[in-house]
Amino acid sequence: MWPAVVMMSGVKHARITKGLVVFGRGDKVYSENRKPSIKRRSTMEESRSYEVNFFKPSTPFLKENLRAITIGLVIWFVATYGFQFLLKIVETPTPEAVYTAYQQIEPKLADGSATAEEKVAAANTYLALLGKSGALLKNDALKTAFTSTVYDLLPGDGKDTLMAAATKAATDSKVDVGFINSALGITENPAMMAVVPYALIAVTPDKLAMTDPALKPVMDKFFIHNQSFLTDTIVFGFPFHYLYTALILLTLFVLICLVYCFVIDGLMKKYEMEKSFE
Amino acid sequence: MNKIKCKALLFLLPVMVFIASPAFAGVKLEGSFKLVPAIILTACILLFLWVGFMNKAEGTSDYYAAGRSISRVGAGMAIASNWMSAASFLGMAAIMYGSGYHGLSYVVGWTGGYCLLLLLMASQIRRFGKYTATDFIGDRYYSNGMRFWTAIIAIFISFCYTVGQFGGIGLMFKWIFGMPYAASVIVGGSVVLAYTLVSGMLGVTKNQIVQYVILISAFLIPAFILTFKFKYFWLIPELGYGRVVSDIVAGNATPFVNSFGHAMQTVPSPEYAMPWDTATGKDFFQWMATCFALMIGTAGLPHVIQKFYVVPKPADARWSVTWGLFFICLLYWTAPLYSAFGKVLSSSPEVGALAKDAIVVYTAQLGSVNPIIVGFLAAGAVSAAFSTVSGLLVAGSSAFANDIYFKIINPEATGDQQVRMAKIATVVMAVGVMLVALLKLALVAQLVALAFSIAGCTIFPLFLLGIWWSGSNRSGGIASLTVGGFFTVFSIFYFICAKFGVALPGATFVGYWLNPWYFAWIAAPLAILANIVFSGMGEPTPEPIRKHLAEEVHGIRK
Repeated sequence: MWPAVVMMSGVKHARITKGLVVFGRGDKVYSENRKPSIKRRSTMEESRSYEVNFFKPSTPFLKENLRAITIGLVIWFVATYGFQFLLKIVETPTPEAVYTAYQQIEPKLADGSATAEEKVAAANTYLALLGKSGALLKNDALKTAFTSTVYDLLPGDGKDTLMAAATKAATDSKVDVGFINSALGITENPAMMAVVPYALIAVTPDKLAMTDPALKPVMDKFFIHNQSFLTDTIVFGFPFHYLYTALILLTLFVLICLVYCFVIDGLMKKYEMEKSFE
Repeated sequence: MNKIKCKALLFLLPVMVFIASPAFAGVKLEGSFKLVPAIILTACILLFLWVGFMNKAEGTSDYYAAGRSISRVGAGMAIASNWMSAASFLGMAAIMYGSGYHGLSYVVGWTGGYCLLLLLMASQIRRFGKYTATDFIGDRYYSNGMRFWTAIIAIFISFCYTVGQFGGIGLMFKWIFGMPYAASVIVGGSVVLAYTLVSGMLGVTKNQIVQYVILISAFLIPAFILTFKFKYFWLIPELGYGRVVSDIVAGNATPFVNSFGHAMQTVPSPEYAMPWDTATGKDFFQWMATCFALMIGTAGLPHVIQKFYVVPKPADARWSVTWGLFFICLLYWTAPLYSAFGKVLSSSPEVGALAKDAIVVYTAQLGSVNPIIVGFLAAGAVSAAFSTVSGLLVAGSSAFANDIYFKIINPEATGDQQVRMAKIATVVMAVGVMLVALLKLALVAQLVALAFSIAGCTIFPLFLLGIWWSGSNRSGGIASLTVGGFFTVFSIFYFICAKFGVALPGATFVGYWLNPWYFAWIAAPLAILANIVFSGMGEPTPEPIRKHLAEEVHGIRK
């Protein structure tokens, strides 16, 4: 019996009983046999007229509607994911300038041949790294490298002052570090100065070490960035890729929706479906 | 015309100067009772209740669909308000503050999904003629079993979504009332539960329009103030904060200080804006997977889909999505601004570690924005969570009372019995959510992202194929739901085990490829594939359904 009753509009729910699928509240019943009969096969052919398939639109309206949907989806997909793929393809891992300089200095720090200027540059590199994240302020190897480099830079009595400041900084961030700021030439850079009290660590002279192999992975992680012309071009103050993703893409989504609404309204009018269908 | 513009600017400038005047100097970021925000919050909740009572729903149809009498713009605002939760208001800025460019995958995912909704589903769902996602699936796949499991999934989605909101409510109550987080979650959760039980059948849709106006005002006003105060292009703050991003990347100096007197400058931090930076711990795949999962999740969330029934015609459903997306974008265009200002204003180590999920409010505080405006902002955040939570609790409890209790367990139940069951379900769900929220399992946006992943791999495939392929039948639907459900359980099980220190085989693999925030990237395509394969093996879709789909949904007239 396929189908016994053709009725769907107004259906509130379906219930399953043995061998039956029941629509409605019992007033309209449609039953489904398990084994297809000859009559059923012919009815199935008839019912193909009710076929809905995204890839096989069966009416002119649906064809045009699906064309509009497909164009919208392609634009949506390419604009969203295509741009990110492009960003990925053109990117180059680029170290920050301070890290490039540090990589030249690091062997000299290890063998003790670094000049005072190079030690200043190294200390500032450590400081810039420490200022990037609160989590890095807990990295003892990094703090030791910073403290050791500054210690090495300072004259005799300055070294004692540094150690006293480092001990005090563990409990009091208001410690006077002006002499360190002067030695590092950062008195005009409040962001770096703010980090100094938190970058110090109290170490005994035998533990002083201006470099540490454990620092390389941390520095690689924080100092090397995926950059390209898309990230380096500034538009309206933004790096272009940021502007595109945070603002342009969202605007494009609104435009896709807006254009589709106008297109589909036009199609409804064209096929005179406004009243009958909507 | 130019004179009018000049007069408007002359009026606007003193107002901006007044509200941008520093008034927070010396005030702790949190830990104290804040009277003004408390009063504003109370006033907002009372306003919502009043609007609700003025537009009380007369029956189920009126409640669900607001009598189908809402305009396109109004429905758009309702969609936006329904959508904008604590995750949008607080969570997006939080995730960008902590993870830089990766956070933009949330911004893009939560907006781009509306294109899918509009192009593939909005008007078709409206034409199909059901009130809930569960009803659609139960009828389209002619299966009470699927109706039951979809209802369970809808409840679970509401649950996960609500956990994130309770986290946001807890943080804001903590900020406003100076209570510990746990007490804030319990008090805030109790208030929202009472609000939901009182407002139950009130005019939800019209209320959401009012809520939208409050939310967006609360979010945009501080954005204007911050850009004005720090001499960025304040007439369009969404463009003006671009220079803040560049300043963070380069570590440029500014002449300004935050409310504690710390310089408004960071050390050079390209990791804040560069794509999939190793410093953020997020890579290219995670960006793409998160974005995709959020997009398809958007198109599969039951409480979002349900909104298409509040408009009179399918054409209005389409336009309401477009308006809704525009109204949503007003907030989403602005959210990264809070993250950028938050980054530069909190850069001094002296500020200490801030709760990321409250960075929106902290940013306004650190920027010395007038306390009244900051209070309004915090009240807006709570309102955002309230409007969504009450909607979700009602959706979850009605899924139980209507789709499970009435349609499956007790079809003879009276209206009073159904309402009683709905209220019990609301309370049980709220208490359960409260307990899970206390565990602080993840950031607000991440907890909400879980709900999207679940919706994306369970409900979205059923809607997509259910609407666009008449060959999708009950067998395919069951297979699709099984695959989506399996991935959901599998991913959450691994996540919970990892959270509680239980080491499972392949935990690293699962934690990366099937992370709870984005496992739908693979689960959804597999669910769709299962639907197609098993549909070919099962009995064909009954003709009444094919006919309804062809004629009523797609306008194929023979």
